[in-house]
Amino acid sequence: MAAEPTRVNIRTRSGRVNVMAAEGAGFSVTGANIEYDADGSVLITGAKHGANRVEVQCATGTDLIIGTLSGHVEVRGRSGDTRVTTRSGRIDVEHASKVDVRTGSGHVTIGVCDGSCHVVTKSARVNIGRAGSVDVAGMSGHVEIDEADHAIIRTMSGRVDLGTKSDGRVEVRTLSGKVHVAVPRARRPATQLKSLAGRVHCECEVGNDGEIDVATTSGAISVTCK
Amino acid sequence: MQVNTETGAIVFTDIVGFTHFTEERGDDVALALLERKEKLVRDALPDSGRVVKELGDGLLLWFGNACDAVTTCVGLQVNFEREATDDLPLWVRMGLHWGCPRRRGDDILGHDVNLAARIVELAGPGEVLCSAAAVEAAGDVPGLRFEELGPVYVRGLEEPVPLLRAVLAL
Repeated sequence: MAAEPTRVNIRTRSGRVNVMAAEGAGFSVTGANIEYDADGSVLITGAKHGANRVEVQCATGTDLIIGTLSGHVEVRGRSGDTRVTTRSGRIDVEHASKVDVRTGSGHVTIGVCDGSCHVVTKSARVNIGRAGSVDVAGMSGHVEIDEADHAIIRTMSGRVDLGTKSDGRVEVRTLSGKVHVAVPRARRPATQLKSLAGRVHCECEVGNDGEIDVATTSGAISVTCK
Repeated sequence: MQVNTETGAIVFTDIVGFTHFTEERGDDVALALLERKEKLVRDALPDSGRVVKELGDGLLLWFGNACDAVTTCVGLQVNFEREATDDLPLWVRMGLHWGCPRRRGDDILGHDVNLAARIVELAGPGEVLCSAAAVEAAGDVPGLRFEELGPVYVRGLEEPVPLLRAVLAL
């Protein structure tokens, strides 16, 4: 078992990357080379050719920077600042303090993000369970967020389903996607809902409990109480 | 033919989803969006910067100074955000690299130009992504900070490229 790094940097061309961040787990790596940096971080490098499987076990709260060309990236447990970039492939992050994820295609799933959650995708489906603030930019693909305090979502054509939980600000901009925002029953948000060609429906009473600002060219907009 | 090289910052800009925007909103609105963006870019260029060429909905820019390049790009994103409307959403992404391309007349070409073009593909709307070489050349940039995104595999290159995001230091 090696010394516990505060930051783990993983790069591999293709294949699966599994990271488990758990209390008292110790630090271990299988399927890749390890280099230690003087600053306490670790560089883990997978095979340059062919697909391989990299498995990393690290302490809760470890910061992760993962870069792959393709393959499934899975981060289980509670990680720190978690940044994943892949050209294609599924990305799953269970619980992180902060997230930055970029992918061309695939499926992005973030369970819980305590702080800011930034997702850039071309065509991936995005599912986020709970996050402090969310910033999602995508061309197409369904964006589904169960609970966010603040959210900025910009898509071209995908459907957006968003749940709010506080008095934060929600901004959605899309060209042709359908947008649905669910608000807690007791809340009365300020709303700005604009669709040039789509139907706009709001069943909430309007007030000052947060702000919902949605604009779309041809998609329908609905705001409902949950 | 004489081949010249020049060291500087190479920047690609791209309007995110321009094809889809044109399909949804029509050619006239798309053209208005393009012209709005280009005017903002040309107005913001310092003496060390120039537009090398127009590339459909994108631009290739050149800066003799890396600090100027980063400052201009981040400043432009602030302007795009401020000037955007629901009718003209200025969703622009930028990729920046410092290198030594070949000059062919007013044009520039070579590996470093190709790399800058690949970097912009990884940016989201409102973002300025920089290669580590660009960040190193820029040094300390007043009012800005760089967030590491890590080693990123880009199309056509064997080795991953370390990328950083330039953001306002609030």
